[in-house]
Amino acid sequence: MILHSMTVENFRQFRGKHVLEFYTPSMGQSNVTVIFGENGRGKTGLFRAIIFCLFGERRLSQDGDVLQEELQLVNVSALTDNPGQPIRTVVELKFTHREQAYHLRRAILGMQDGDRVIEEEDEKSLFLITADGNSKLVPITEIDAIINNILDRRVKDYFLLDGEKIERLTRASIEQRREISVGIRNLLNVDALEIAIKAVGRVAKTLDNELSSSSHEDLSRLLKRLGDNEEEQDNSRNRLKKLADEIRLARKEIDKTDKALDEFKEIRHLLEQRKSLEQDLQELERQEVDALSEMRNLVCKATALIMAPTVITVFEHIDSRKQKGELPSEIRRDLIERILMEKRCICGNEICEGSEAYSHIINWLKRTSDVTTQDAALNLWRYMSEMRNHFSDDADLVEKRLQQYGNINSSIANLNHSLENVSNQIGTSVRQDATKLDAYRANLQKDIIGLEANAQNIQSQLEKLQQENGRLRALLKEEKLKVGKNDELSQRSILAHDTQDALIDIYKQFTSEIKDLIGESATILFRDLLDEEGRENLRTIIVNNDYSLQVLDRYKKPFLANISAGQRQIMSISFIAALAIIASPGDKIEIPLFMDTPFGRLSYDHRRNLINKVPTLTSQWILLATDTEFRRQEAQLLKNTGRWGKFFMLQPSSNGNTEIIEQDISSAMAILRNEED
Amino acid sequence: MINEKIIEKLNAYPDEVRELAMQAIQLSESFPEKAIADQLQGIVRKLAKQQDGDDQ
Repeated sequence: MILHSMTVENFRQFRGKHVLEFYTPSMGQSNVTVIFGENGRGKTGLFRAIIFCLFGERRLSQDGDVLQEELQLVNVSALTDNPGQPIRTVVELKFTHREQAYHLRRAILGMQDGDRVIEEEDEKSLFLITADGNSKLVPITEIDAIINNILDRRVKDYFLLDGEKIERLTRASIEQRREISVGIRNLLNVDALEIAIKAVGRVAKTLDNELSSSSHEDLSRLLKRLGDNEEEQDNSRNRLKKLADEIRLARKEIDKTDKALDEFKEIRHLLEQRKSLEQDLQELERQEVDALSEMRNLVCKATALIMAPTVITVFEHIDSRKQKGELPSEIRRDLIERILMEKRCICGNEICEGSEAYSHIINWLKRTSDVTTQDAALNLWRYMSEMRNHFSDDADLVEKRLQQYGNINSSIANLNHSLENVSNQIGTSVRQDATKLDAYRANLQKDIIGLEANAQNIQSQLEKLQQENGRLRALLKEEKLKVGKNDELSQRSILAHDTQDALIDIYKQFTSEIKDLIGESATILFRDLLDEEGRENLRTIIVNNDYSLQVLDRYKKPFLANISAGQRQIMSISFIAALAIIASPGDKIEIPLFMDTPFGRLSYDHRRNLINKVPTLTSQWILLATDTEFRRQEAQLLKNTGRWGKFFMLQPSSNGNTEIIEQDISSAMAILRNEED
Repeated sequence: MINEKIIEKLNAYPDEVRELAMQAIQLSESFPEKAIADQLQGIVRKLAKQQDGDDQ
């Protein structure tokens, strides 16, 4: 499908008639159109106009809970300026699809009725344009089928890739799994298959009921067990569904709370600060307990330190005596005592009392001590030497611990002081409301974790029941075959069950094949779009059995938890683009791909890769961009691809309306912001 | 129109199973579950008899 032009008249922000002529392959190889404008100027409105014209739908997947009546299409200022007058809103599309030209037009009439706006369909027409330029009106009853053949309405949302959808897919949650499972269901078009499975199951059940009231006792018993098992499975599925609803509701409630908290924006940062301070305080208190326990273990060493000066003095005294040779003494005390008693030296000379030699010997006697005392002194010296060696290390350790404890204590005191300050700043009655909201939000978050854990338990119970069911079925089939080759009722039952099993198998194979296909296609894109570093580490995107996304690293290990916000966005873009590729019959996206502010958190390298890659993936790329993400640098990259054909600016006019102004590419370059601006 | 891939996969099953499955899917395009089940009862009876005849 190639869009040639779109005309909008009195559609949403676009008052009066506006025409966008897209760049088409007949004009050259360019296939990129940039529609540039601030948020709220109507960029997404233009995609909505296309969906409205094709399918008559006004709701996009991103509208979420917005009520149908709030999605008003008729221009507000036209209604206000013409009270009581019907205003006609028209969208016209001229496009070609596989060599056939189409001209589709849809109109509604709107009127202001007091506070209400009434809108009703006014016109739907489709012309096939023949080769000679004549047009052929298609009967109104055939229009939907023709359009649906060009673009299946179930997959239409994959051709709008908006920031919110990208964000939703980066969250590892039930929402992500839901989005992916819906994508796969839509791609497979499995509704008919599901109804068929249920209908055959109903037939099988009716036949089983007839069989169980027959006279075969073993059969009846097995059928009863199977019936109980299936009832339990139904209960588990219902509980899972209920839990999923509760989780969805809790998430909605969180979104609402966030919006309410936005009203307290000026203290939002204070609440976050307090929360972070409280977490820090908790951590420090834990560290304080640890430090105290370590200090208790040091009590023995610390006590020994008290004796350190005495130990050192005694050690030094013994040591000095050792140095002087007094310990152990050069001459044994008992030898000196014998010399003095015999008054004869060991050389044989006599020693007289009062002689010089005698007084020397007396001095020696004074300096020596007995052997036991000497041994004790030497042992003490050795022991103290060892103690003295540890004093320094122990003193360091004790000092370090004391310092650590002191630091923790002073940090706790500081934190308590900061907490008091922040709490005083928060503490008015209005602000208390914000605190309550914040607490409410935290509780919701906790509830979600609990609900998800509960869901996981039920899921594993369900899997066990399914295994048991398979076993019972096999037994039942055996029994049915046993009770009667000639029993026509049991043959009918076997056939119905076999058919149901076959359909379920096919359904499972289908789902698994499409999951692999999406994974493969997303991986190719992912690797093309990643920067060099990412390409080095990240290898494969896979869709898990529970429909969550995972990224494997070069060692084929799950790596999703470690990738950056930008890489997550690239992963989401790759996944959505893969859905769009698979939804198209060829290897290229056959439907124009709209990207609404996709550059969000992307680095320059990722933006460059996206700008280079996307034009080659799709028949037409309509890039809806704001001034903060589409600057002169990105424009230059796009220009370098040689694919950029058209540039439209959405500019504010009076009464909140928007004008569409076409600029040539070189003027666009001049208008756009520079990175430094 | 039954998806070609489904027909391809059904070819791996016995004739009666394939026939019943295809009838069920075809009916699913236009009827609600209960109405399909009612119509399938007759088809199951016919196919079971046919199978019985083939066996004998």
